[in-house]
Amino acid sequence: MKIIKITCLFILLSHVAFCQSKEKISITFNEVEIVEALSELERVSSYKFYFNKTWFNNSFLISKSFNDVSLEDVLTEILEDTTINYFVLNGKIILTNNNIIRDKLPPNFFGTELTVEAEEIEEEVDKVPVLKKQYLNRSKINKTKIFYIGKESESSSQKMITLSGYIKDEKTKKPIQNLDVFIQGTSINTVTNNLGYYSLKVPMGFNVLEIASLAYGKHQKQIVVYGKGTLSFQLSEATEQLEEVVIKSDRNENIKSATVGVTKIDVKGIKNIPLILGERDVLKVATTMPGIKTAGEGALGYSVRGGKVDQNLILFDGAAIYNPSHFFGVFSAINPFATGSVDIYKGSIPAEFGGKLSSVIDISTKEANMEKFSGEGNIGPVTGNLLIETPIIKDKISVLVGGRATYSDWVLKAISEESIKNSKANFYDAIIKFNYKINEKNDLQATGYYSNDEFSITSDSVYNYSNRIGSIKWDHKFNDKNRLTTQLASSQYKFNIIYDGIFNRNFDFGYSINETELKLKAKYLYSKKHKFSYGLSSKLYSIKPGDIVPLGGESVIERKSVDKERGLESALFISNLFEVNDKLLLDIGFRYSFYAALGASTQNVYDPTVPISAESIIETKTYEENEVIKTYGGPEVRFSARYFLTPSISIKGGYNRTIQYSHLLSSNTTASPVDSWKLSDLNIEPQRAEQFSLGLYKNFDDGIHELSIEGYYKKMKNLLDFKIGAELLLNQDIETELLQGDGKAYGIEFLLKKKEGRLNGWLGYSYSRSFVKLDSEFLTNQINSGDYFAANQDRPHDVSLVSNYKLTKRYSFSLNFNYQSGRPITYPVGKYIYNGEEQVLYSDRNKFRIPDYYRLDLGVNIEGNHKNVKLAHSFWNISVYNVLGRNNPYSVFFVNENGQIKGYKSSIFSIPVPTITYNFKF
Amino acid sequence: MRLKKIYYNVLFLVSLLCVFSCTEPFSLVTKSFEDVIIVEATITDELKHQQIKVSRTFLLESDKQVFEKNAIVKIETNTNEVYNFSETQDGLYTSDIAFKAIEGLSYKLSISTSDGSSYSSNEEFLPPKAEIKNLYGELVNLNGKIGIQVLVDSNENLGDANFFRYEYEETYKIVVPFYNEYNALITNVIGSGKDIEYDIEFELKAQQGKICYSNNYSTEILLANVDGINENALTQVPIRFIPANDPVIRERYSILVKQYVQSAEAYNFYDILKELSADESLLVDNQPGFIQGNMFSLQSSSEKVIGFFNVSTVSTKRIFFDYSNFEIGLPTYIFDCDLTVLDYNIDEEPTNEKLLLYESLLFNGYKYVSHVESDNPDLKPTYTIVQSGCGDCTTFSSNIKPAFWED
Repeated sequence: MKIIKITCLFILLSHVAFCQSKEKISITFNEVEIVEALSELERVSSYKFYFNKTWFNNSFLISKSFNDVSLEDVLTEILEDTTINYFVLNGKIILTNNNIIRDKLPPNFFGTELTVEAEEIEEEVDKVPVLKKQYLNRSKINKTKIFYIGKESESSSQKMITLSGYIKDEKTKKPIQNLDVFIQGTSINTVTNNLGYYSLKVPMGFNVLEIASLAYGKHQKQIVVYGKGTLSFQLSEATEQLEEVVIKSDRNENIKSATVGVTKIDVKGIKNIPLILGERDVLKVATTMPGIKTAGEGALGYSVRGGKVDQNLILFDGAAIYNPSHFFGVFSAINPFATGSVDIYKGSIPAEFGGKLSSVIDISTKEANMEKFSGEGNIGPVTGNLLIETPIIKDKISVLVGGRATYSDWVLKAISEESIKNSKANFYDAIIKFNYKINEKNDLQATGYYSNDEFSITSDSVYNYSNRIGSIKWDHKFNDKNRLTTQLASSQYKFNIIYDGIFNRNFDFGYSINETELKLKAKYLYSKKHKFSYGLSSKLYSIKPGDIVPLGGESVIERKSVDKERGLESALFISNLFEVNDKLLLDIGFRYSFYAALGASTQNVYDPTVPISAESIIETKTYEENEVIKTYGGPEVRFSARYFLTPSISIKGGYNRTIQYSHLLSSNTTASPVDSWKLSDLNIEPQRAEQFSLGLYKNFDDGIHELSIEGYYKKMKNLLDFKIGAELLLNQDIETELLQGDGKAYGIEFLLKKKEGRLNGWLGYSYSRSFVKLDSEFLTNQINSGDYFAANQDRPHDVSLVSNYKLTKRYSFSLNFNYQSGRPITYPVGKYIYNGEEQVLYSDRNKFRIPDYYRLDLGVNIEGNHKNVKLAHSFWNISVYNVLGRNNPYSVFFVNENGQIKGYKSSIFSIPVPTITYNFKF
Repeated sequence: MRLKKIYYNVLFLVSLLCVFSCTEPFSLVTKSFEDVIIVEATITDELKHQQIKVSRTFLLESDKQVFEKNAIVKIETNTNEVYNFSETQDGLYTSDIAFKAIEGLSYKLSISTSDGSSYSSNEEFLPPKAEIKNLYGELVNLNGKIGIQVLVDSNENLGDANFFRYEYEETYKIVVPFYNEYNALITNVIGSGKDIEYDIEFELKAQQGKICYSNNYSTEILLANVDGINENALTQVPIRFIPANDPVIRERYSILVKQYVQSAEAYNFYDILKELSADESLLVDNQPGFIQGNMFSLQSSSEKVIGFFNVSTVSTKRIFFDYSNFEIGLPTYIFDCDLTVLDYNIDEEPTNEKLLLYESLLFNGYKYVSHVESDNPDLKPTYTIVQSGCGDCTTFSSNIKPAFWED
């Protein structure tokens, strides 16, 4: 309606002559709104004012005093920061929003005398007045609202005008990051930053601003740009998309970026994936992507592209998390509600990360809600989870607090077996996050996290393990081109075993690893072609490899502790994102890492001519506190490139080198929570790897479908393995049990994603192999005669299908299917009798495989009613894990019972497991 | 260290109890077979005919041990003494003369098999001696189970004796609950099936079947070491746990414990052997593999040889006790005993007791306990019988009292 009114005014007034007022006035405004100010002006002057009150709905207050100035000056001043223009006409003041009332026609209005300036017209639009006729027809067709931006000025020489604004989520009021914002039909585009802020140079006049995102769908805003201005608005998550499982990627990110082998998990989208015992698990979703595997249900850790479980750097808001799982890996310790994004780098690892061989799993928590109090929670059969976010000072300081805990150990209690009635298993985790927007240039965030697991099966022993993390990050923007992030992160992992039995051997055993890292990362946007990122980091490790303390006065256990280990791992890094041309993008990264093992310590020197053992020590060196024992280091090249074959097909390649100075000591085929970490020292060399990768990426149907094929070849050196039956806890001379060898891994990964629509999801397949070679000149240190053999994580075929079907707005169904080759095992090849009992002779290592693994899960999500206004938004999730009841053997083992060897195979969740979870959001 | 062991036990239980997990046995099938020689040899400082066992691996699905027969076995010392062994049973080689290992000498075992392969051990020395100071039973509650734990304390000042292995041999007395010195014999059988007629005569047993003595040998690898122990002695080393209701302590019970002192390598060999065959779990899967002992093939360095040639000192001790030495009740008898009373005169359905009595005594090994004559002289008696194990212990044990036995 308003549009029509203004249009009429415009047409009428354009015929009327312009008249300058001569009247001088004096007036004082004291914190009054513009509308009041105008009324006041109307009262003191002889003019009548014409305007629409709604233009000033959100105006600020004016405090100003004018003395004997013209009315024009007063108006100019008070309207300066608004989009209002004024026009003085025969004792009337006509106010207009955005546009100017003109008293003469613009040049060339009726004809084309454009001869001289023709060559000037390139991308930029000529400075012409914005006239209704440019957009009137279109707006009539579309009948959507038109936004008028800025104030037209006659003096302005700008041809392109800056349009900026904030885009927020309608529901959560949180800024929407990484949203593509562009002007239809042009190459003008940008993305929103972490504050939801965007800024674009747009031509004057009518434009269509378009926003496209998977989560929010496609939105168009018709804008008429008169001058510099802002357009802030809110988007609601597209309801069609609400329950979809989507792997988040920015528009065409997969084909655009230079990095090879990156997986992004959309945390919001995982809510539909069927669950085990109702636990939403970000990392478990990651394992449905090609190249990321676990050893099975209930296995700790992840194997990325044939790497071992200790070769992943798992970062939680920048701090390393050593064991992100509860209850032996059945549940993830990462609170799904607090998680903002998960990026997994399995091929090209950015130069800023290092210290682990295979991958970086970068988990960021979301920013606490700056707008209003909100929360999210769920109630599942095993745990309850609640997350609350609240602003402390609106738009400035906010805090997020979350916690999750088991209700009770009813799972164990439900067993009628007498001997295990006393058992218990508890876990909890808690997170607190603090955001402080100091000002436009400075941002501060701090995160604290703690997780704890305790379990006890027999009445005489209690096991306990915990992660503790703290990080603080300060972002500082020097100017548009330079930014600096300073981060201090500290993490600790520890476990404890308390044995309190009936004999005199009671003890309390404890292990802990601490690391503290300071990292400075700067970004320098040198030009459109060169974007630099550089910095340095330094990490101090401190390990208490264990101490054992007798428990109770009668215990004969000797108090013993193994020397503390310390090491300093530092690195310098620089990378240049170099856009050679539209087609070729290079990401040239270089990292130099340097490690020093620090005293105080004693280190053994071994006779190199015989296998190392306690007998072959030729010297024991003692080092003082902070004395450097041994240094290692080296350059780590991180290079990747993208080339567009066609606008929707790109090819990418990468070369990546990594060095790892800390190692997990495990003599098991799968990791356990009481495996300890060890630093490189005089006798343990760092692990090194290099990886070549190549990929082909295609998007079709306007980015709805994504297809990628990636291949890699990886060579690894100094992988750690141990002698059979190695004793790793409390072993001062661990190197005597150690075998270091080479590894190689290669594979091809295929991924097809459908990102939108009623039916969406992805299908992944990978063929991958991983081998280890443990060779030595000494027979006793050879495994499988020193030949390459399949590594424990070698599972050649892996198929995952994750899909969702949205039946109605309230009901959606989901399906998961996973097939994997069985993992290698060492199987008996005969038995014999020794010491009066049967024993088995094992084959060469990993010569056989356990049966293939497959599993189907189904789920249904039922949304709460959308129509009613309710306190909280809620939904039910009903899922059945392992619908087929496939008994997937997890391990096969042989036990001596009364002198006879018995074979056992065990599996977890070997029957269909139904679960109902109630989720709510407020 | 105990740490690992406990952990495995714990996790094995976890795996069993998890509602949604299961651990189930499966029958072992040999997928591919490796034929490897096994040497089991421990010579001690006791003067005796030392014994060495040589066998081979056999199929997983088989129960039949395969012996290495007709091998040439000998032990040489660094003073060039040679002790020859001869095969006295299948795969069991006994020294031709009695000898004992002496401190300071080195011993080396050589074996030549009938197919021409030869094997040799590293040179081994006799470790120091350590005595068993105390051997005793204690009433304990082990993870909710009440029972008697047999424990060993070594002597103090162990010196260089650090690594221990234990074996035990237990002997227990059995007294059958329903004994009759007479056997019931069936004679004069006429007819068959339900029309059967027979007489029962009594005969004094040729040997007593009331009191017997049974033996068990340890099959578990029992190890202890002084690493991480605060005293220069081993105390409370658990050897054998006897649940409170175990029939072995119903009457007098005796246990003989042998304490071997071993080398570190021998200890390690047994330790890994034990670990790999111990309770494992689905959550922690110990890496299994070949355990290298101190025996090697002289022909091919890559040929696997299983076993350890062990030179040990040994100390033994024996104790006696029974349930009444502890505050526990009388354990049940080995078998469930149900007295069956059968009337010879009842030969009609539903139960033809006459026929049942005949079959029980003749074919099912039932033992006669007592009988009651009928008041009517025309009728035959009513007999009480019991399962064989409840009426005569010689059916499952030996009635010969061991020489060491003290009542």
